[in-house]
Amino acid sequence: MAASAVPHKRVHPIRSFLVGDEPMTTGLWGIIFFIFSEIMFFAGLIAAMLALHSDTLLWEPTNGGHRVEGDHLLPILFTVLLVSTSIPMQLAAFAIRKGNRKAMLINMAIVLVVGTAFIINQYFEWEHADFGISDGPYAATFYTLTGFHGAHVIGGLVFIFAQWLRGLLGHFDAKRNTAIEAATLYWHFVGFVWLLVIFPLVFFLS
Amino acid sequence: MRAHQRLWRTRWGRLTLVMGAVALALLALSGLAQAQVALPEAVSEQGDSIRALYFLVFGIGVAVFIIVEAMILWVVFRYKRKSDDELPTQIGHNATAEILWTGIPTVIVIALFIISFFVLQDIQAAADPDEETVVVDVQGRQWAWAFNYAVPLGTDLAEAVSENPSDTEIMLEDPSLVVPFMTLKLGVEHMRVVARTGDVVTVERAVNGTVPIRHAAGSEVMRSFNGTDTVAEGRLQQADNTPIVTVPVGPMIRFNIASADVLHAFYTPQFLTKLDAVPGRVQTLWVRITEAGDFASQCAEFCGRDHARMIYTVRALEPADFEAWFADKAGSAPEPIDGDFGGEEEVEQEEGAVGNATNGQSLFFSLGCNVCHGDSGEGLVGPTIAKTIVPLDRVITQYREPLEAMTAFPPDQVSDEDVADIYAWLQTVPRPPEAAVIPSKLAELIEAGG
Amino acid sequence: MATLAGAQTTPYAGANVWRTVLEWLTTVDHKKIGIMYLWAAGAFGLVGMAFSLVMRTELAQAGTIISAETYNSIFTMHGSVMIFLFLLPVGAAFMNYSMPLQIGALDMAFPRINALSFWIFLFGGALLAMSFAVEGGTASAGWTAYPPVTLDTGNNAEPPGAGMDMWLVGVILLGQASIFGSVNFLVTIFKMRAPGMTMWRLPLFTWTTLVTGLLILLSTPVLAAALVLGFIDRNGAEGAFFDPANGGQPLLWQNLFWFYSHPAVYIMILPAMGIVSDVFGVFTRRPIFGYRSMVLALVGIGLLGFIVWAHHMFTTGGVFLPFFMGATFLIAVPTGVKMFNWIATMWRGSNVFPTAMLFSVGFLMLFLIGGITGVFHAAVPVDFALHDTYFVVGHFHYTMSIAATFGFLAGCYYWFPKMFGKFMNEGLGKLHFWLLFIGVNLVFFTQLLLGLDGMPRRINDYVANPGWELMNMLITIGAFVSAAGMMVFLYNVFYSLKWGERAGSDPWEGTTLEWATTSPPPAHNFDSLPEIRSERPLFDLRFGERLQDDPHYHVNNGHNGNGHGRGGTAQPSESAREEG
Repeated sequence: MAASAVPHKRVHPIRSFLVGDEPMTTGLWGIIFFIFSEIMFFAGLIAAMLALHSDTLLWEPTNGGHRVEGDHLLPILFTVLLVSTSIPMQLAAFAIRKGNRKAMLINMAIVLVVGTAFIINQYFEWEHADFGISDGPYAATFYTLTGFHGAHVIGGLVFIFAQWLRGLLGHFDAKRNTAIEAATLYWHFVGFVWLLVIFPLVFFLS
Repeated sequence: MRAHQRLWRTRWGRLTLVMGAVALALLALSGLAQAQVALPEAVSEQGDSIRALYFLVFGIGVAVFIIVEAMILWVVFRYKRKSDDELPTQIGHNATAEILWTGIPTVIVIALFIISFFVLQDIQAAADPDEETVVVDVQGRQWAWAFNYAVPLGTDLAEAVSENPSDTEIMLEDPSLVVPFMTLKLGVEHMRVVARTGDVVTVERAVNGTVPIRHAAGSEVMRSFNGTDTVAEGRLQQADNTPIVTVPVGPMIRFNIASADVLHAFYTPQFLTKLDAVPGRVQTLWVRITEAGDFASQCAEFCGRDHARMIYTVRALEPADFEAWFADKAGSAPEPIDGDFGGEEEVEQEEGAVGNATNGQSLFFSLGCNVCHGDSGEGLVGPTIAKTIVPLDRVITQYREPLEAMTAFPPDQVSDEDVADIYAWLQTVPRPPEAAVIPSKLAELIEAGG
Repeated sequence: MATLAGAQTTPYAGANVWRTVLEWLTTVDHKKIGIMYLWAAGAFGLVGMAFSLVMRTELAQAGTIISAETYNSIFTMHGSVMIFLFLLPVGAAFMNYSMPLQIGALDMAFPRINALSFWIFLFGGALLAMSFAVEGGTASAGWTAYPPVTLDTGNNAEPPGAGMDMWLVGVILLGQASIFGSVNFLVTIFKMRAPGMTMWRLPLFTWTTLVTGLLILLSTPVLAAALVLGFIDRNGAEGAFFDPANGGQPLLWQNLFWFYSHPAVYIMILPAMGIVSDVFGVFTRRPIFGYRSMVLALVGIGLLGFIVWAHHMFTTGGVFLPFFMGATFLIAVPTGVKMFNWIATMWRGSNVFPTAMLFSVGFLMLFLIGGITGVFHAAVPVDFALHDTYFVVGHFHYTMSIAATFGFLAGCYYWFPKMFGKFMNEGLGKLHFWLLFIGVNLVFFTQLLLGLDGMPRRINDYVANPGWELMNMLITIGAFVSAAGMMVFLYNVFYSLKWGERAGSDPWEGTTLEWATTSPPPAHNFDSLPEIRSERPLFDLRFGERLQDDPHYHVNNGHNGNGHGRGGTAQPSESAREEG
């Protein structure tokens, strides 16, 4: 590989942790830029939610329904679960950097199972909500934000599943693993945008 | 050799010729267009300030344009390649020049910012609290304008105004002038009358000094038009049947601007200002008019099909004329209705009517029936419906499957009971004798026995 | 690849037409994709121009010819087509075609995503076009689509039909194409530069591509958020976002929309600025004056672009005026720096004026008027008078529409020999320039005057008065003169493709790397690259010897640093296709 001709510079530990010591491939650069655009997308949605919340008399669902509160067990449990899947995902990346494809596959399987469970729980949150999407700003932002986040989780899961299948077929090694690194970065993004922004806003903003 | 050819041979001569040609072309263009390169003469104090600022910006703009355009023409005409192997200087930067052309514009824009800032403060300033003001509630809707006047109450009318904003009851010495939905001005506060019981008036206190404007009193001109009203002889025209808002010269006028449906903008070119009518908000535009006259105006924010036809006129009258006009209009405003409103007292109902007239009255305005039928059902674009003789069940049918141009109201929007309420209220309002026009189809129906 | 390279040199003379068509439909070559963007955007541009002629015919005199609904639909589609389907993709076309060549790359970082971007763009454009066929017609609330007039909630008297939904979805797709494109541009610039091509040696067009890419990347997703909310508002939420009748806020849309659409103005104008910078560099034989300050000004414009969005909302009564007024005024400074740098580049230059140079000078003159009229709008009280009148129409056409178009036309005349191996006809080019220059000034300068006189924009009819009628007639005449100019251009394109004079690999004595390869370039772009010691490697190659003793000559005085470019021409695609 051409990049190996370039002598390794000292890499920052955070960079080393996230994407390894190898020179970053174009694919990784691409996914990082793409994640920035995703951050701006969610920033737009969240700014909309905050603006609506700050200046409306009709926040509560207008059909008399009840906002979904996050202070009971299930939402918190699944938030913790989703964010903690960043750990097996990162472990999968560590594993493949060392060329350990089997450990990678096991860790990715954990991510897939827990991620799917999160989506199923989100489905039941929607089922249990006693308001529709047209019942005022809160209701509309609730479905929009959780819906778009859910779609991103599903997208991430599909991508990880595809890479998992490729791993089964013997793809990836210590050098050629951009897709795994990209999936890891994306998965961190999906988890943290939930933990830091959507979960506290949707479930605790009164 | 002719003079202009001699002139062309020197670089300054060429520059003069080119600049001259450009200046002539621009002059010809503006002359041809019969236009001034200035905003129209302002007819308001605020407009004068804006116009002064405009001339400052314009002056700087013209100066910058001439200087930079001259520089462009200079380098274009002066520096040309003489031979194929010519190599010009390779100077690629010059600290002095770069600092100058960064610094000077910075200073200019900061100065402009400061001046603009103070002009902005000036033109947005509200009237003094103790100053006499005229309040006009402006409501844009597709595609019409409503102008309503808040009747300023002298302090002698109010016996007690509570200091507490949550207190919404005011005792008046002479409440006969007060009708529900009218806007009162007491001091700097504006309040909408919700109901009156005896001498006590219940008001809705407005937020930020603004006024909810669904009221009916003092309604001046409100025309709903569908494109034909503003056209005469195939031309769009300011005409007597387009909305006119009449205001006095002299006192501060407070336009409370709101919208019933989509975005509109209140724009009178000779005020040199505009303000959007945003649904869900009431915004304030302060204007002190300095000249009497009719000022053509129109909606300036795209609002759908007939946006271009939302024209109106601001008619500024000298104070005495305005007083006379207002007294005349106030006389024709809906009469105070007999009986008390709200509270526990029952509203007296006309014989045969079932339903709650008070609720009917508020529905009549909140649904916008007044837009076409007038504030007391006297009829504007739509037919007169005050004291209508059409039976209630036929009226309900008219709501559901309207004849003529009326909007349909399905039962989930207006229930049968609501219609009955409105019907009840309509039986209580006076029927104007001069406006007894019933459109043909309805009349036939009635004659045929419903 | 070798067979493709063979076909590339004779793209219009293939014996097997279907093979050529298939090859273009499936290509991932950045040059072909760029050319396809150019054709598609050019076609959309002609459609947009046709719309403007319809509007001008209607407005030439008071009274109406077409219905208000038709007029509203036409002006909406004029704006949407010109912005989303002409100006933005023309920029993308040149960025696709020239940027990889300028940095000595073999292709884009992600060639297949590049092709995907193009096809998404075309599909989005097709969706907008198809909305003419649905019941209720196209979107008709302006390209700004301010709710609630776009919504079908209770208070809107004439709710738009499915065309509005198609508009929303179409623009989401176009935005997605832009985002993919921007990621591609950014990674290409950061990772695929030839050895020696450091950041401070990037040609200015490549710098504008970089800044444009960042603007697209960070602003377009916010537009996507607004469009998504708008779509949900129309299909389910019943105005909960944007209609106060259901708790929404109309101004929320405007904030989100302009957070994208102000930077979008720079997304359109910056590539044009990059083109004229390169053109000035070539036809003056001078280094771009203040190269670094040009780059800093670019970055400054980009950064300021993110904090001035609300100057489009001064008259809504819903924004904090002093902050946005101050930030807007400040934009005059970096734009001024660029203007003076361009003039200083021509100062004491060895200037020649082929059509590309004429259009670049025209760009300066038009942009000057656009910039100065921008200061009028920055001063909030003056904006109160001018907002939503024809003054603002004149202003933004002078800047982002006409100035940008002049920049792009300069790019057409400049890169046409590279793309097709033939010159465009100079005589027709000059006729084109003068017709267009006179036409657009007649149109837009008169619009400024009309706006001062208080004529609001977006009206299909106006109250007849002599001043307005005369000015509107002048504008209409100007519009047809401009259109005639564009017809000359169209003829020139086809004339030159068929009978144009053959151009060698470097017909203009270019300075940047795209001129170091054949015209048109082979599929792999370069057989060899010259040494890169400054932002104009070919100039160094041509005149470096003669300038050995010139202390001002960049390469001699060490101003260009000596960093190492990473990536290279031999192996850039390897990492890109690693996951293949």
